[in-house]
Amino acid sequence: MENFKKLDQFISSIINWTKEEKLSFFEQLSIKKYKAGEYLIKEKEFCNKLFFINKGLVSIVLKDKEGNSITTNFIAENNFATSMLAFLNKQTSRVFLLALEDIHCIEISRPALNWLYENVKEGNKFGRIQFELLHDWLNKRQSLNYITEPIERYRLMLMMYPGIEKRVSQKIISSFLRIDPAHFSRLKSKSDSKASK
Amino acid sequence: MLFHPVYTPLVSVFSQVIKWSDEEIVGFTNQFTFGQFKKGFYLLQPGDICNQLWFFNKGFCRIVIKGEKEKSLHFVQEHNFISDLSGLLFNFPAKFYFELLENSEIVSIPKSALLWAQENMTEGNKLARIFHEREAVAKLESIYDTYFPDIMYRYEKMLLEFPQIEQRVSQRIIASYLNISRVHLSRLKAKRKNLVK
Repeated sequence: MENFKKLDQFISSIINWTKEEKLSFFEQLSIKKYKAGEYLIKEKEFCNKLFFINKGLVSIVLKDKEGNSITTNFIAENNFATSMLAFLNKQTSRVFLLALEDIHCIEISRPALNWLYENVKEGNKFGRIQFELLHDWLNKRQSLNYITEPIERYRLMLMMYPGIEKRVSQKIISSFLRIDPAHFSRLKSKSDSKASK
Repeated sequence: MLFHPVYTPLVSVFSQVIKWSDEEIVGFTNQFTFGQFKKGFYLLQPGDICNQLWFFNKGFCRIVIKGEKEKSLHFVQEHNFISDLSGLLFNFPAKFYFELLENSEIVSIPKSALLWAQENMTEGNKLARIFHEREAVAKLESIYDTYFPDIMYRYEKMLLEFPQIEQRVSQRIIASYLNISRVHLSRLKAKRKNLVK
């Protein structure tokens, strides 16, 4: 039960559910561990699961036509991680889920999630609220693509992922911001010196 | 008849997703309004706080950024929904225009009716969850597509999603959607014609 404590707190902060509902749901889940550098989901793999991150940091990585890896998202503790498009469309994944740190997580299979929606009284309410929050995040994420100034993109990124610059390399951040690593380094020094003044 | 015939397409879309009683159908549809709007009308403008979900019985609409350089972001056609979810869910002001590109017949569902459905219909939360899932798919696809700036791919995808678009909107608007000049669009179409032969 200790392993499910964070997930229980997370769901219980959104809906009311009974002890029986919780136990029946948790029975269907499994604990997973991944080392930094391992993949939780690979490209072209069918995605029938999502993960609740107890500890660690995951990135979503897309390969462009030239085979370059582009980081499109970061997912840290107390969040769900999956290849969302593949999961919802029941298709193969366009992205990789890469462990950037050692990961301790809970794997939730599609049948288990459907069980939650169908059998927990407020299961659909939980799903609805999660997707509402996802929209807020997607709107911000979409804005990143319209912002032309790299420094503005950097500021929005820091707002979306507080503390991220302490957890991942500059190379990964520059890939996320879609700017050259050398340019990012100059940009960061400029931004840091402005902040310290 | 439980409801006005203008709501038939919308009730049919909802009935594919949830089971609902006659009382729920009457209670929900009684809160809808129906309107006919002229081409060029803005359903939403920057600064407005969106408090409705619109469903198109007939017509065509685009989400557009206006300014020095116009940019069409998305189109909406018959039997599809449009809303600014950041306004509807979080009361943020709109950033874009929703512009009608044809005379349109539209059902409006006010925010209060959506909240009513979540609270009073047995499967109201399920309906909302599934709607949000579909919206998330569209948004995620558009985010991922920005990493593949292949114009022919985007053009083909647009034709697949909106098969009649060439007959319904001007070349200027299509070019602004693909973010290319009209000359470039003409060349693209010629290239495609040769490829199809």
